[in-house]
Amino acid sequence: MADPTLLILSSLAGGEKHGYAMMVDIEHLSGARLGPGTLYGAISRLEQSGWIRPVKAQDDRRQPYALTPAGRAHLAEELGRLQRIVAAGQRRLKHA
Amino acid sequence: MSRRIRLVQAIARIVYPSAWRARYSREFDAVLEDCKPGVAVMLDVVKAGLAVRLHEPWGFLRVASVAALLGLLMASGIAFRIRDQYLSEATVRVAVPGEAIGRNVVAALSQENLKAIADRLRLFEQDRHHMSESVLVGRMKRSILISKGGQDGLVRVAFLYDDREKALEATREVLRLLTENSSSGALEVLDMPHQPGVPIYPNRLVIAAIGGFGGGTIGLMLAAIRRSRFARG
Repeated sequence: MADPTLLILSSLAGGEKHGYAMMVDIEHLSGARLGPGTLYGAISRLEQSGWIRPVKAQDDRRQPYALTPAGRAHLAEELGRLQRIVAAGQRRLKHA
Repeated sequence: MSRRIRLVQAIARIVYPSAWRARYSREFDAVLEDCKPGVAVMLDVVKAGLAVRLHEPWGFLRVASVAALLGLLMASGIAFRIRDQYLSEATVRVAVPGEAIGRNVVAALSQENLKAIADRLRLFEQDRHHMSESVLVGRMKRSILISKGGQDGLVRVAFLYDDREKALEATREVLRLLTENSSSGALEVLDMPHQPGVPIYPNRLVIAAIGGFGGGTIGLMLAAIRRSRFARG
């Protein structure tokens, strides 16, 4: 159910993070543990889409990423869409 | 750094394309060190690496080629584990085509006689300690090949075994039993058994080719499924 790109964007909405910090944050946020392969597959797609960007790091092996304005807009749009689905689902459950 | 981390890093260097590695390998290695990888992480890295490869130019064919190579290597490995099988054959003529050889076979190849041949020639020696008598006799029966014979009464008698000398000796024994169990003149040996030259099985080239073709086909199918899933979502 959990889309790794949405989880990464949500994690970065709380501030810039490097790969392992994202894995830990996502596990706290959603209970889902992303594998490093899945995480970096999604990071490379998000970077290509221009939704995240690498930021200057003190440790050059632990590269932090931050949301771009386009990424923030995309996250807001996706969360709004999910919210509408959740609201509709809950309404239907009440009347079922 | 633990051996497991080094192993996953080595796997990542194999499965991910070089352009991806040039961009991400330093930070990816750091994440692997932080997350203490197990089998699940290893599988995740392989799966994600193949997904990245699929989206490279010609990635589809590369994945299929790697799968074909793996299939080829696996099939070759299996083929070289199969022992060579030699067939020693003789030709006999039976006086009454069909019926006579049938009676001779039943009498000659009794359980007792087959066990005696196996004991005398020390056949299936490596498996004997965990083999019951009935299993041994069953294997002996499967190794003996007797053709049905046509109107001319010619019947081929052969023994298939992984040692050419023992194949020859066993064929001689079977022939002796058939001759002893037939009435005078009912069975005439036209061509004595000879020591086989080349093994008739396995054809390692064919097995390796089937492995390569099978691996390539499976690789193409998996790549197509993976790509269609990626396209959908």
